Amino acid sequence: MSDHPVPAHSEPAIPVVPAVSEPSTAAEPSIVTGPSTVTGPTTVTEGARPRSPAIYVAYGVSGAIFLLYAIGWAITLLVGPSDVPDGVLAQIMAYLTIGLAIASGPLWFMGVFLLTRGRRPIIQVLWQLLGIALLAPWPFILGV
Amino acid sequence: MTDSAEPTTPPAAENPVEEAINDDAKSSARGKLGWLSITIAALFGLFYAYSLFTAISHAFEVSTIFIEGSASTDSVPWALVVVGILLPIVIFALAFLVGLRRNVFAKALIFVVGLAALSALTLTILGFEALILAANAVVPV
Repeated sequence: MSDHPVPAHSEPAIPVVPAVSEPSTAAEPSIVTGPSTVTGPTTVTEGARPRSPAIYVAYGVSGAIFLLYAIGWAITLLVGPSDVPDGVLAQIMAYLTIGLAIASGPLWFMGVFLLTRGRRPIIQVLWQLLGIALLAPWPFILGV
Repeated sequence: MTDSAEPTTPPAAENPVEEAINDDAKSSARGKLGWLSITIAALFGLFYAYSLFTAISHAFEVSTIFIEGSASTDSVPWALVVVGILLPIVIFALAFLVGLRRNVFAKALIFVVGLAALSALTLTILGFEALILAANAVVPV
C-alpha cells in the first residue's frame, strides 16, 4: 500500500521534447554581455536589490563632499599665479592635469555610482570613502 | 561613422562597431583581453606614461633644489619624491585590474577616473613639497 511503483511517470502523454529553443534563456546573455551595462537599466532585472533610502543619503553626503572638493581644487588651481611650462605638448598636458584634478571628485562619484550598480551598499560606501580619502584638495586645505 | 554615436541601442549586432564591442565584451567576461580592450588600455597608457615621464623629471628638479638650498641630501623629502614616481604605475595597474572583466565603456571610464585621481594626487604631492620648501626657508622655484 505504501509503495506504488506505477504512477511515477504515467502522466506525460506529451512526448518529451528537448527544450532547445526556450525564449527565456535567450534573453539571459544579452543582459550579461550587452554593451549597455553601464548606462542601460538592464541590470535591474538581474536580481539587483533596489537601492534603499540609506544609500541615497550616503550618495547625497558624498556628492556634496566631492562638490566641495571640486570647488577647493578650482580655487587653488585657477586663482593666483600658475607657472606654465614651455612647449605646446607640456602646456596641453598641464592644463589637462589641472582640469582633471578639479573634476576628480565628481568623476569619482560618477564612476562609483555607475560601476557599483547592483553591488551591496557597503561596497558602494567603501568606494566613496576611498575617493573622499584620496582626492581631498590638500593644497587648498593647507593654504599652500 | 554615425553608428558609433549611439551605443545605447543594442539590437542584434548588425553594424561592425557594435559587433566589435560585443566580441570584446564576451572575451572580457571570460577574463581575456580583446583587441579593443588592448587598444583602449594602450591609448590611456600614453597619458599615464607621460605622467610618469613628468614625475621623473620633476623628481630630479625638486631634489636638486632641495640639495642646493641646504647642501645636504637629508633635506630631500625622498618619500614624496618616490611616491610621485610610483603613482602613475600603481594607478594604471589598479585601473587595469579593476576593469579587467568589464566592457570597453566601463574600462574607459575607470581609466579616466584613475587619470583624474592621478592628477589630484600629483598636485597634492607638489603642494606638500612646496610646503616643505617654504618651511625649510629654501628659495622656492
